[in-house]
Amino acid sequence: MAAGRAFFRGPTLVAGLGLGLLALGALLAPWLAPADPDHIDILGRLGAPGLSHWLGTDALGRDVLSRIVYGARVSLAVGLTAALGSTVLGTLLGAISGYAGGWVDELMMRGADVLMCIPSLFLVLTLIVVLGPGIYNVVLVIILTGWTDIARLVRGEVLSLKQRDFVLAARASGATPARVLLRHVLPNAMAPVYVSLTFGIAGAIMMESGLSFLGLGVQPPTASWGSMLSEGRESLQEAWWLVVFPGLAILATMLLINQLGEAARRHFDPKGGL
Amino acid sequence: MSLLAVDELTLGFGADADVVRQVSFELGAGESLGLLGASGSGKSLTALAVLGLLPPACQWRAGSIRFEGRDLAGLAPGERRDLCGGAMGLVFQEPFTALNPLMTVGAQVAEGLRLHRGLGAADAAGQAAAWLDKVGLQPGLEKAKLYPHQLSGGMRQRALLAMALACRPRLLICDEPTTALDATVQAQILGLLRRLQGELGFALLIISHDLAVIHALAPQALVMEKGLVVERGPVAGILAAPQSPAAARLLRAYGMLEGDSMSEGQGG
Repeated sequence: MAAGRAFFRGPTLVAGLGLGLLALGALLAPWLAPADPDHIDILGRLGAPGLSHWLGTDALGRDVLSRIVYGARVSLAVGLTAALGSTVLGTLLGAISGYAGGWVDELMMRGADVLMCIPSLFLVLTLIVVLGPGIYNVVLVIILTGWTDIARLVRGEVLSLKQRDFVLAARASGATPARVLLRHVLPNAMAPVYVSLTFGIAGAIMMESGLSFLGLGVQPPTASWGSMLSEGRESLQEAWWLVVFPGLAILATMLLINQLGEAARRHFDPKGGL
Repeated sequence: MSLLAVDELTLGFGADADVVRQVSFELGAGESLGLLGASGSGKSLTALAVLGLLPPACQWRAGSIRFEGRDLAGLAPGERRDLCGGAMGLVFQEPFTALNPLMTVGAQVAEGLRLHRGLGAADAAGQAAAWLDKVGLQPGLEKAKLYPHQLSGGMRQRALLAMALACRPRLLICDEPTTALDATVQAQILGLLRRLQGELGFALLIISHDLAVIHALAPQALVMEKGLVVERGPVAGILAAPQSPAAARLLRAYGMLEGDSMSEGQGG
């Protein structure tokens, strides 16, 4: 569509294509990765980047490139599901809060306030320790702690939208409150949510990397960019490639997603600034 | 029995003075009634009370509204919703904000049909297109696919009319239906309203600060000021010789009455 063409151009097109390639690479990991990411080759440990192993091998002789490709699966899957989950949860709670008003609103917003005044990393670490480490718990915890911003955002939009004539018109035509909310109010409140979602994905990927770095996320031997950093740290003196390449992978992904989020923000900005 | 009977309706906000005071009127099936008043005279709130769409802060202090003999205050929310859109329709003042910007006009007209007539998606879309034809958005099948931003003000007001009338309501409330439109479009919309009323036979409650608009559609009118009904009678009579200062002021402001119009500082 025309809107799509206008959106994906210049750096945004590059970011979109880059992320598309990354996602494709993660999906096709078994065919793309040159080696089994978990195959241990003690004799070939800490091999420098070269022709046989493009990005070298780690302390157990595993192929770094293969582990990065497989690690992309973890990072992207966690980032997407966690960000989507917290966005959906936050949107629903915020919409109900704003539309219902009264004590429902009061209860939800004070709950969000409580969550928001605890530093998020501290909250996440505590919850992970309680629930136990592991990839599913990481997703769950990011969802449980990440919905508050979106909920506030959506609540504000809904508060202003519900005064609008077309919402009154929908009520005047006899639509039920749920229908008014889902068909008329929410769709018009979604623009900032999409923007927030892209940045949420970046945040969730960072969070997963951080938790895996601390050993609270993905458990060995599964490769994740964060756990690769953590493992590589021990041999940093002899093998720079163990830290540099996973780090670059994280960096590049963040750059691409933030570029996309920034473009989305500009796209939905009513003032239309560039 | 009258279709709509408003009896001693009194509304207010919080601790403030009442904004609608003991307003009473009746409207028979198929009849038309005008509600004339300046901004803030309480005419729109009266209409919203009939539709059950008062803002949450507004209190119903006294009086009753009966529609086809049923007391509206005693209805459950579900019954209320069946009436709204089904038996009563509303046309708004602002065609630019009264349509959902993300839905095609066809879908918005069809929505009421699906809610109140229980039609399937295809049937509702077909009837919606027919309604768009009827209000002059032709060809309806093509216009139904357009979004509100692709329509002009007059076309949007026509779409709103189709939305309000799609379920064949017995009462249509028009709140300043032409205020936001330019004069020629205004005349077209008023003509359309008159023609549709003749065709469909709904009762019309028309709210405006412009007696000419009311004159075009209704033989009888109430004049409201500060929540009170200060004058009632045939529109022609009010035009010829307004009895209340409020009516006289409005007429003068529109240049329909001899006298110094703009310099008087007592309006508003």
